[in-house]
Amino acid sequence: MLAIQKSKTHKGKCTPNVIPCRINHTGPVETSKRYWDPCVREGRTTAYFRGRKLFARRLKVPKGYKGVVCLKTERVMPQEEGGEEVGYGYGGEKEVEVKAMEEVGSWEGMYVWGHESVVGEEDGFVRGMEEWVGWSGAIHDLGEKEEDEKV
Amino acid sequence: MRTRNAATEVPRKGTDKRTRAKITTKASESEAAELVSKIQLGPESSNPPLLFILPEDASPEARVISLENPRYSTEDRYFVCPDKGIYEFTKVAAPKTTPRSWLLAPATGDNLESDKKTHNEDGFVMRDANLFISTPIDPLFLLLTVLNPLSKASEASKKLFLSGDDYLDKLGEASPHLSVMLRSPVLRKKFEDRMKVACETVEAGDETMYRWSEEKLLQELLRKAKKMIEKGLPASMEEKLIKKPLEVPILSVKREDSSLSESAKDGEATQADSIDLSDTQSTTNSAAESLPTPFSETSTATTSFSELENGDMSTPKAKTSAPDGVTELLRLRTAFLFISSNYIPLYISTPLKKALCSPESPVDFKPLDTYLEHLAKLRQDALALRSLGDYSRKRDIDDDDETIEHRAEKKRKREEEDKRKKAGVSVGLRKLQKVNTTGMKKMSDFFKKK
Repeated sequence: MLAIQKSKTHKGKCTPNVIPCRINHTGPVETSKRYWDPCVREGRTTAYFRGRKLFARRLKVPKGYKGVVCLKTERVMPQEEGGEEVGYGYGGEKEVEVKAMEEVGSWEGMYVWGHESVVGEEDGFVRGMEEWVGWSGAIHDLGEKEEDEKV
Repeated sequence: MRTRNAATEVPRKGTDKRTRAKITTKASESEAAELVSKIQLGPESSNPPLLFILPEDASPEARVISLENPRYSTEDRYFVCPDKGIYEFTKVAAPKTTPRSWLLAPATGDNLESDKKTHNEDGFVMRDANLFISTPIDPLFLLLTVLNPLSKASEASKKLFLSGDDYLDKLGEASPHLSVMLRSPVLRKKFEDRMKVACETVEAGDETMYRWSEEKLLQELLRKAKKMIEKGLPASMEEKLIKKPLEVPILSVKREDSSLSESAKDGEATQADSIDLSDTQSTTNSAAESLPTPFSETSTATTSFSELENGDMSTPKAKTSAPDGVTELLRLRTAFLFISSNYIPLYISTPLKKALCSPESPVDFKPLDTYLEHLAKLRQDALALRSLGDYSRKRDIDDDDETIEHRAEKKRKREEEDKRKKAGVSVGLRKLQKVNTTGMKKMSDFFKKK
């Protein structure tokens, strides 16, 4: 079980970019303006990466949601006192270890880059952010509104 | 341009340093080393950050828990907020074939043009571009396995009315993580509310008792499916699962118009037969044979195709669009199958599907089934006719079964003979046979009188 907590070293907002190539490294890098400098040219968000021209499609975090960057930690959260006192009769139950997951950054919008083209609707990230969130709402609709209407 | 320079610049500088290092000595070497170390990457991070989309304003008590996936019985992560309910995670990742990586850049804000100063900032690169999106999940799906357990032993108890707490206790037994979360009265209420839609209820004193009811669940799922249609199926799904299956096979696209008038004339003779599609195969074939000769062979083939289309159009009234209601039915069924194949355990979804096909089903899918059958038949016929068309182009039409058999027999015999011949010759000889002997003297030349 994980609890998401804001980290003390929260770095504030960042901009996730989906780069259309595989970077065979996972770790911190310096992103100097020299190497990564997206800007708007002729109405399109453009960036050059290793000499290749990329165009971006901006995806916003859907309404009612927030984008976060989290880091798993091994830190065990202190157990809440008095969990048993609530009185559902869970007397002998084992407590579950809760580990902290630290929120180290947040984001509001991300860019999906394509090689000299703007990615289309069929892209997984576009569909995930725009299509899935709305549609899953319909799947898991609890029908509460309808009941209200009937009454 | 700028980035390309950046990439090549560093090694160039490095070599400069090296050539100079030959003249001067250690001092500049260390300088070069320093330069190199500046651009060296740190070690790989063993615990890379994860990107999430989480509900806003979640309670601080919210937790990420492991829970058995109702459909796949695997342990999956869920986000549970005591106030807002339970969320499932959907992992968005690029397929392995399309290389994608994350680059977390410092926020630039909406105005990208803002500051142009060159300054180094923290960024993060991740090899795998994974994004976890949390969306609400209906607790009903998580309750299914407790409301209607699989085991045979509980067959008897299945019919019993149980209180909501009993069911929730059972759920807690199966997943200790969830049982901790279920201490929240708000969440408990949310779960219990959803029991109603899949259960018959009985009031016993001040408690409500629940008993599994397949019919009610079916109703609820159909309600959901309708809701999904209202929202509109995602474009990709609409294209693949709705439009494609309802497409009427088109046989000859380009020549259709030009030959339509011709076929209309000829079609009159065979129209009576061509409505019955199983017959058209033979009748159109004979029609092609008996056609007057000004057409080349290919054009006769196409006319016979369009004839079929003519017959086609007269049977159902529309060619491209399905009859009224059929599309809607297919959408409904697609949505229903989507739910049942993603959130409902197999042992529960199978009888549900059966119930949907039975005559007592709340929605009658019969028009859809008959139409789909009809389309399948059309497609089959089109395929058969197409191969027949190709075939007749290649060979004479009077090429009947007997001659095919005869030909096959001949071929077999020839092959056998070849085999026998080859068997008598050694490998070396066979190789020699292939040698190009043109321009060489014949062996007998050497033994001639001079």
